[in-house]
Amino acid sequence: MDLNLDHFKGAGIALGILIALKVAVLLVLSKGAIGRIFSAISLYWKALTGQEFVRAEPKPKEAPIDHGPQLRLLGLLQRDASLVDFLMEDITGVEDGPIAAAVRDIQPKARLALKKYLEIGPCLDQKEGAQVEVSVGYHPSQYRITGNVPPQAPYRGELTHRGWKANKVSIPPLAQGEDGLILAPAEVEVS
Amino acid sequence: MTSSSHPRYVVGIDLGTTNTALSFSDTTTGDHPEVRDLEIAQLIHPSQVEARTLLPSFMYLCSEGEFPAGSLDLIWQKDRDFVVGELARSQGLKVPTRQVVSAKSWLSHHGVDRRSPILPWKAPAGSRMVSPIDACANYLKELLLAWNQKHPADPLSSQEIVLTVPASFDAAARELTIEAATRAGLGQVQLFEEPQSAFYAWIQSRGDLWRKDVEVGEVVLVCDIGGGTTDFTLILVGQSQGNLELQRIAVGDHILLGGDNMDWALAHLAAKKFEAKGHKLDSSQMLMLLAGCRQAKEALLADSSQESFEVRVLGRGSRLMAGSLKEELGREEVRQTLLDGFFPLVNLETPVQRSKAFGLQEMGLPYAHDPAVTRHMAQFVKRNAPLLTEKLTPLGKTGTLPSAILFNGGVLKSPAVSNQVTNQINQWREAQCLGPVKILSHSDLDLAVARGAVTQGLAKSGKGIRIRGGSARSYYLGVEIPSPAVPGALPPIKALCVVPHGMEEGTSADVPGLELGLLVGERAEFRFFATNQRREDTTGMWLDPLPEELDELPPLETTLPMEPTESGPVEELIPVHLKSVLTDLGTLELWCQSADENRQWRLEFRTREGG
Repeated sequence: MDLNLDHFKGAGIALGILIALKVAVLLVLSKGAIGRIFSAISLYWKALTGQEFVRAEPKPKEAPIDHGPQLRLLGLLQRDASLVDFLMEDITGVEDGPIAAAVRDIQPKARLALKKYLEIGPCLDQKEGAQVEVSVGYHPSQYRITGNVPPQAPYRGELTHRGWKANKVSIPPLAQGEDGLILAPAEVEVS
Repeated sequence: MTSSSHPRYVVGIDLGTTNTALSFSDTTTGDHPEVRDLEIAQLIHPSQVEARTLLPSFMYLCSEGEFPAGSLDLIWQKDRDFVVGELARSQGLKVPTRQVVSAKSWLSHHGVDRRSPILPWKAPAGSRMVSPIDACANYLKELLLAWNQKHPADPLSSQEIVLTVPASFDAAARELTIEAATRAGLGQVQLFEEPQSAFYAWIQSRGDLWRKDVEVGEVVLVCDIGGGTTDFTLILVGQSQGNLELQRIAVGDHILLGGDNMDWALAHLAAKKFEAKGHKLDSSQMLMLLAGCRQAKEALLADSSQESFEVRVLGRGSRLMAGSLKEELGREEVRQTLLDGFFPLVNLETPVQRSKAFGLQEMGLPYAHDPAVTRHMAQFVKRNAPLLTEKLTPLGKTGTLPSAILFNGGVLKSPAVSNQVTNQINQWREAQCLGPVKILSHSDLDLAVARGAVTQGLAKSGKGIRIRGGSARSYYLGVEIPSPAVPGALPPIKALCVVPHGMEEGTSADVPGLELGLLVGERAEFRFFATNQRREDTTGMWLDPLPEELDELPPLETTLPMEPTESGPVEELIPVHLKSVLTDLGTLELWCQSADENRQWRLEFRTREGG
């Protein structure tokens, strides 16, 4: 997926300056950030003197952030597996039979879609229930350690959930003219 | 590297009724170059492109603003107002009035002007339309663009291209296929018959072993059942100077019947079950059911241990669960619907069922009325029985039935179906005290035709065996019999054979028996006929009266140009005789040759309807 960064461009001037200063201060403290400090300072300088900023019209308060790209996957899951319909339906009073029938239709399609667009797979390949070791310097996004945790890694424990991760994101991008906020178009049948 | 004298690639294109495919071989990679399939990038959904080896032969003519701007763009084309391939297929299920289907079958349909915009056939008045030729050209163009994208140094138009056509295509349909290829910008293409191509794919897959699989006197029935059409061809294994020799000896009619009919038959079966419980399905639910039934067909025909398949239909609109329905399709009823409905075991004498003749029949594609593939097969086999006797006797063999069978087309991927076809032939063979038919099996039935076309292209340059074909039909020119004019009655005509059955490609023949005087500056027009049922007629033979089995093709015409002289155009009557040519490219040409042999004019198929 091409993460669309364009919408950050539209942030207001004041916000830009503030962030620039804050980023500059924060990054001074971390090592190996000389380049980023430089760009923060230059952004600050540009904010003060740059013609494009000076001349810019005052922006509306709510910057038009395009959420389309973030919602794309949901739109695809609706298109391929009616997932939004499924989640939005009030099932109070619906019998188990039809629900099961629908799930049997929707779930395999949604599963196929996730495999296709994310090449989704477990974070760990071992079976759930297996004993695993989490070594020093593990990535905190990839593991959640629970239970009677000793003070320091490595940790040994039972794998209770294998986790999920996207191995390759290949979400077809939205075309220029598409409205990403539409998750499913209204359908009108002409008879 | 490109060299105009020696193309690097040999390319085979299968322009199918429902799917189009391209295979190719790089001739610079040795004596046995690998045959590969082109991955064709196409829209699967708006804004979603995927590469697949099959390009569904569908075109969808969208209206302005129907899809978000840019969502139909491909790398090679922006701002299109049409779609071809998978999206065109799936979108057209929802909006049939904008979908062009079976364009190829329209090419062989004489009742319409194939160069005028008549498709989609059922589009409401005022809709955008295209001609069958342009639709076919678009499919080929898409292959060309996909190819050129991947092989920028070796554009498709400079490669050696073999384009397959149904064996049942007559001279006019072949001519139009060439025209579509030209419009697509393919350059020169050679036509080749699909069943022969499938046979080549089999040879290719067997390597040298194929010579042991068949014997002299073997009669191979190529049985090709695709999504929308069914075709039969007979290939005879003969002998010449101790070597095996292959000859395509008979082709059947273009039968508009295939796997799609079977899916719909199951969908209607399932819909009846829902209806019996008071659930009337709407059109989108029917499509859901159709997709489910296709899966049921594949599952139940493939796996004999599975007793039933659940088909589900979700609720209408966004309420999925409250209205969701399910039904079971049992293995037995599916087998019954498909096998008894489409492949009943029949006697060889059983005629193909015809619909009652209606006074005024709706124009359109001549879909087969009889859904039984086996009855069509019986008709084909029976019709060619005398031919087999005639061909086998010199080889010291007897028999009037095929002794081997080669399957092609997606439907026959199912063992249940191919077994049933085998059983049918064996039943006929048993009745004549013959042993079981031999099965020549090969792998990918979807891509065999395109791959076989590549093998044929390679064979042409001396790498491999050739199948001798020759004209599958004989052709006739209609000439009016001088008679007193009677108001309201057309003058009777008789027919002159200009191309005999079996005339070889790459040969020509002077047609005796007709000296014509053509008037310069005037249009000369002839009625034109063909049949695949008269093998004895020879060039120059007159048929009077016109036999019933002749099918009329579009008329042929030519206009002799005025030649300017010093004293202005001269009216001149030029005596000519006819000459017929079967080209190496697989097309038929008829020429009027002046008596002094200095000048000739080609007779062309009439381009306008109604003339």
